Amino acid sequence: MNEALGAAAALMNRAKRICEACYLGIATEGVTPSVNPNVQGVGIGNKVVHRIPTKEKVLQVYVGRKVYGSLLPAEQRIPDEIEGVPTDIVETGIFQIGRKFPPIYQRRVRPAPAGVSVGHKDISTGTFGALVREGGDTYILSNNHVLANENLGKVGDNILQPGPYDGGRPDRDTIAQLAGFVPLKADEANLVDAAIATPVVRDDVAPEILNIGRAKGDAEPEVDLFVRKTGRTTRYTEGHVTATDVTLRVGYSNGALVFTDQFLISGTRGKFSDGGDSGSLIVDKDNHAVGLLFAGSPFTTVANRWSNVAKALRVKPVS
Amino acid sequence: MSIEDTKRKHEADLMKIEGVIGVGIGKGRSGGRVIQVLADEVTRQLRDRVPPMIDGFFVEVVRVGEVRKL
Repeated sequence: MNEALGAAAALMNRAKRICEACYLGIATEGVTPSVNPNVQGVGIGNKVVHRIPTKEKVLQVYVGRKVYGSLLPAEQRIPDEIEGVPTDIVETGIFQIGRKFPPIYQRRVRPAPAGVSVGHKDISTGTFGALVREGGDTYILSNNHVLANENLGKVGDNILQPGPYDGGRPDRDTIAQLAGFVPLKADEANLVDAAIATPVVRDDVAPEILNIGRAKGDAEPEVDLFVRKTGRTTRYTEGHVTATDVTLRVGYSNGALVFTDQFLISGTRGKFSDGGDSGSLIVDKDNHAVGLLFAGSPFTTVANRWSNVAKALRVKPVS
Repeated sequence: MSIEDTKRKHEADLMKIEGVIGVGIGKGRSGGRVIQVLADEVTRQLRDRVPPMIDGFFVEVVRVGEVRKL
């Protein structure tokens, strides 16, 4: 009995090795390796009939998509048995290392709506906050530290969507070029962390903020005001203003910078923001622009007052 | 003097207190407007050094953690 089982197992393993050689190109003695492009893997398991597993041990061949054998060229068809061992074709999809297909907030999307990942070629990533206009020109708005790399960026530098941390590459994912920024100052108080970039192709960007729609007009932050935003990391979140007229120190790459005339937000359900949400436009329930998100801690979110951003860059949301 | 003016007048001194990272205006525990002193951690020493009231306005210490660019 044990001997019979051992022989069956040996047969199974040999059939599996031949499969690995024929379909996956793994070298095995006595077999010329080749590759079947449809086969993603090989294993041993119980045959499944009408979705119910049976007791029959079979050689499982994993494919991205299961199709009728007659639709395939003869050399790509999987035979019913290999070396006397029955086969079963299992649709598994295509296996990928690491992460799954990323959500819209973190992947390349054209036209890109506001609320998705964007960033200067030399940074990690941030959020495309809003499409804004100055006269007849249209710009992507975000933070200086997202689009201008904390004053190190030069006008014309490539802005990637998604940002570098999300896999954006200058050769294929450049969506805009740095147009201008409000310099961050180390020796006096800052009002805003803001920058704008010119889209390379106007139709590659959209004025709608994901989950929110277009911003229109503006409003002043007041304690208890209901606010919301869409950002690259925490996506759509709601919260309320907890403090205004805030002067505080914020940690940057080269140390702390002082900001004044800021406001603080607390999330309604958990965090209002996290790393990568920088640059998100904060709006009230009627989509009035209230602020530009740029900093935070595990307990709070800090934003520039919208009127200071609008004044510094002379921009308005595209509505 | 308004709470805004009072805050502005005293914020530089408040921000010199060790552990204080910022100053703002928010709603106090009793519902009225107060001067908020923002700290990354709230310690006994910090509480002892922040005055409970300035020019007639209540002062409350709020723990905000370490604030960084996001």
